[in-house]
Amino acid sequence: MIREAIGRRLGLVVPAALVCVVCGAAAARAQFGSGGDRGVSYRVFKDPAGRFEIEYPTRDWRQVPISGSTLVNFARTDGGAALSVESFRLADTLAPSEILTMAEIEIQDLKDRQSGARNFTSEILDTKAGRGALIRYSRAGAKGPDVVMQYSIPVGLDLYRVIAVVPEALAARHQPVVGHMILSFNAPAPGSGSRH
Amino acid sequence: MSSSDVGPRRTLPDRIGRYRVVERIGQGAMGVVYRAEDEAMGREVAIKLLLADLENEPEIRARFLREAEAAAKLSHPNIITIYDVDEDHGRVFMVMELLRGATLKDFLAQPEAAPIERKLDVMIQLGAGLGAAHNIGIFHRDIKPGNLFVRTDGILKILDFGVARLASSSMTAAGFVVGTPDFMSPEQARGLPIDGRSDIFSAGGVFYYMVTGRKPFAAANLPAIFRMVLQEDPPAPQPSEAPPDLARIIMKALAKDRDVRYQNCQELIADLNEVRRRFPSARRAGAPGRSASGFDGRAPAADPTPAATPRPSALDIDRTTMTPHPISRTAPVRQPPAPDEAMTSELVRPRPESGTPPAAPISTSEATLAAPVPVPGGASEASTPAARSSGDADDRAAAGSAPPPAAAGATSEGPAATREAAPPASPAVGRAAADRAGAQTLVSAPPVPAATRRPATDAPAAQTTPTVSPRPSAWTSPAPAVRSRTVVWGGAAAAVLVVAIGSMVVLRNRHAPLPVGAPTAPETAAAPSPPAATPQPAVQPETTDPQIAQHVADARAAIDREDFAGALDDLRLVLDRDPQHAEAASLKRQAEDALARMATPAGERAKLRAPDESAAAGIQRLPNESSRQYEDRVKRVKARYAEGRLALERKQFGAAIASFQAVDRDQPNYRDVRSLLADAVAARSAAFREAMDQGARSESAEQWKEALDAYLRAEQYDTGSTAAEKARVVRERLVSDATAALQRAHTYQAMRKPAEAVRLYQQVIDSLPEGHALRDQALQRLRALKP
Repeated sequence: MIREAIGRRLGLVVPAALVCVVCGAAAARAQFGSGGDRGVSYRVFKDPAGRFEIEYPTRDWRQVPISGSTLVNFARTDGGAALSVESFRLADTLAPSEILTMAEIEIQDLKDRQSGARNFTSEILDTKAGRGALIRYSRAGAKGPDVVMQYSIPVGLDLYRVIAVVPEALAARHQPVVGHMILSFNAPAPGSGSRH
Repeated sequence: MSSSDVGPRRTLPDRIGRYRVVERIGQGAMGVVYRAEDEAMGREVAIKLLLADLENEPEIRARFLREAEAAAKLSHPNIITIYDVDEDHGRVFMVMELLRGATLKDFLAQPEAAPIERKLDVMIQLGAGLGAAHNIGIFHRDIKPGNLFVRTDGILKILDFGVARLASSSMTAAGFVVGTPDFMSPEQARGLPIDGRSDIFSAGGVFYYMVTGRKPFAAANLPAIFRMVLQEDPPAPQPSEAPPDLARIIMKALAKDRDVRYQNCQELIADLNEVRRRFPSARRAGAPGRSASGFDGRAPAADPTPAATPRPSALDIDRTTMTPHPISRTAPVRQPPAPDEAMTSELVRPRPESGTPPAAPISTSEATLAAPVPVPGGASEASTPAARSSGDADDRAAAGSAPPPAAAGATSEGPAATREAAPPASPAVGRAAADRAGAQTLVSAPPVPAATRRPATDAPAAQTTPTVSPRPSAWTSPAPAVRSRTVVWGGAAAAVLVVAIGSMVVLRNRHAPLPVGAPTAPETAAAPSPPAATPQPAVQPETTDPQIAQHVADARAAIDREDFAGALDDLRLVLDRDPQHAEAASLKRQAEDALARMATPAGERAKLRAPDESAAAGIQRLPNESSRQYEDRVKRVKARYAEGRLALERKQFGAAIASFQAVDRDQPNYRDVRSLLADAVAARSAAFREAMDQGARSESAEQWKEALDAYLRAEQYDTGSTAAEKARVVRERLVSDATAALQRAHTYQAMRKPAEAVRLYQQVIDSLPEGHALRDQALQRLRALKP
């Protein structure tokens, strides 16, 4: 009896969760303006240490020097958009069920550090690298308001943050490209091909 | 553009590294702070750039990097975040989070900082930040209001780990005194190895400043401050300034002996939280005067001469804050530091910036502030009025304001020679004047007699009676010294007299009660010099507490009706409150003896053989009942009756009802058993309703544990299943919440947010009963987190 009840519940919950994830991913792609980067060709950047790889446009984008916890920086040559990858060492691995709390913590950190940031939203997003949280918010930039998209994804004991910054005025133009870059991020889990 | 353009301090570079400089927001002895834009990341940051002329100073450079190293190890909401440390054209710079708000000192001047609860919040945050640093072996070493920043959202940030030292590092361990003397611990002032308790001392000093508006150790010159740090306890905050519990916490944190202090920040935070939790009642307890001054928080900002202005009373505080202080008219308080002080500073603190504490680098009028920069108190600081207007620059000016007349003497004698320099005759003007005049007598000053030193516990009393408190100046004028001795001996004689009278009263209370009107010649004869105006009463009453008298009367009645257990219960209540109560002790012995006799079968049987006695107890022998059966029944009835009464008194209604029902079965209508039974049933119903109501209230307030407790209590009174069902639902909710909290705690722990993880684990532990698997799991993880 109980098993049946659990089975029925799982039968409802699991598909619902899958739908949510798929919808979330689809929504994220839609937000990125999927298809808006037609005609843009990409090349793959491979981390020299082999930790991750990410695609970036062959034209109008360049790598910029890095420091601190940043692993790679890309910026448009005209300064219109930028994307960086950072890593943070976790004290323990995170289970998929912890992604929502992780997103909360990430948002709180962002709020703590950037008091002017606002309009925070977050959603679960599955990419090649696994399941992570896509956090969007806006803040005052040097040349007007910016839209920031931060994809935080735990891989083993590393928490990767792919952070894209696009001026709000140019968001429609550049979001499809940075969206492609975020979705192309891949970091093989240490020791195995699967994740979580 | 490169940072090579940064050379002149007034030139604004376009870029530092990859950061676009927006504006300069402060300057200190070590570097300049800029607001900048991280264009790659699109965020605003603060950049502290080491001054060009200090680049070749290995110690400065090491300190700069040490600050970055120390702060970068820390990830805590109450500690400023360091993003990056880098070099640009050989110039070291540090990238930090940009803060908006005010330094603690400026924050205290704002109206929103006034409530004591708000201050407690800040104190707790300071403890939390320090605790996080201590947990990974980093000691700040320079905790002071200028290094504490309160953001606009109320979050406190600890700044400037420039003098912080890793526990494993040997830097700054070579006997150099590093830190701001006003808030420095005694062991730090001595140049001894320090640990986290040193920061706790400094935090105590900051707390003291927060509630009183005075620095704990305020004097006119550096040696005097050192002397006070090493030897004197500051006057405890008065009730008008802080609740007594908080004052105790502050004074414990300020204990000279570090073994007496809080041993870690967790202890400190626990006590602060306790005060925070209990504060409303503490506030009510001392309401008069508090609303007029201390707790309204006007004192810290409004007191223009914190070093020279003792607060005699709440009323005087009002006068002080509302009218110009005499010293501001008669004596210049703020003067440039004298050369000798600078020299002393250099002697004690060899680094260029160490003689003057850092100031808040950014104008608080703009409510914008970045990372801390130590600002020199001299010329360079003067060029940044915004910086000068905040932080410790003013504190420093106040502390070093008095002109030091005997520079060489003061310096050569050091702190010890300046002790108790010329105490003032008037508390307001006198202390500053005495600090100035004291230097003139330094060389010939004898050691201070212990009796004339001002103990910390005397301080509040001295402040409330300013006409008595000024200490005699034993070195400047002999006459006041003689007067002082007279006062001391007179006071001592009065104290002996008071103690003698008090002892006599206590001894009388310990005597067995005497019949009213009995002669008391030995006692009156033994009393030393009884004052004629206040003759002692012939007999001390046993007690004047009506509740105690009632319990004694009840016990007597219980013994009369042979309810010895009930009598003992009453007597225990009496003796708990007054262990010396002679009649209660006597009745207790009587009841215990009676119970012991009853416990003896022979005695009991002998007693029961007397038919009159049993009949008087209302138990009649049944026609077909054997003597032995009768004895057993009488014994059983009496015992159950006593049990029932005891249970009823203890509000164990179920047990009481069962006992009374058993009595009534064995002996219908035994004494008042039916009345007691009715009482117990009614009381049980009332208790059930009350517990259920309490449960519902707690449930609606989402206080699940309290709700569960209430329902479980109700379950004891409930003959149905209502309370049990409610308890089950709430218990499931508790477990569900605990499960979620446990998972959240793990996420926080994994993301290196130990403070929040600890809080959540503690929440799980608090919410579940002992032995619960989830609770054990939380305990285990908490122990792993806090070894």
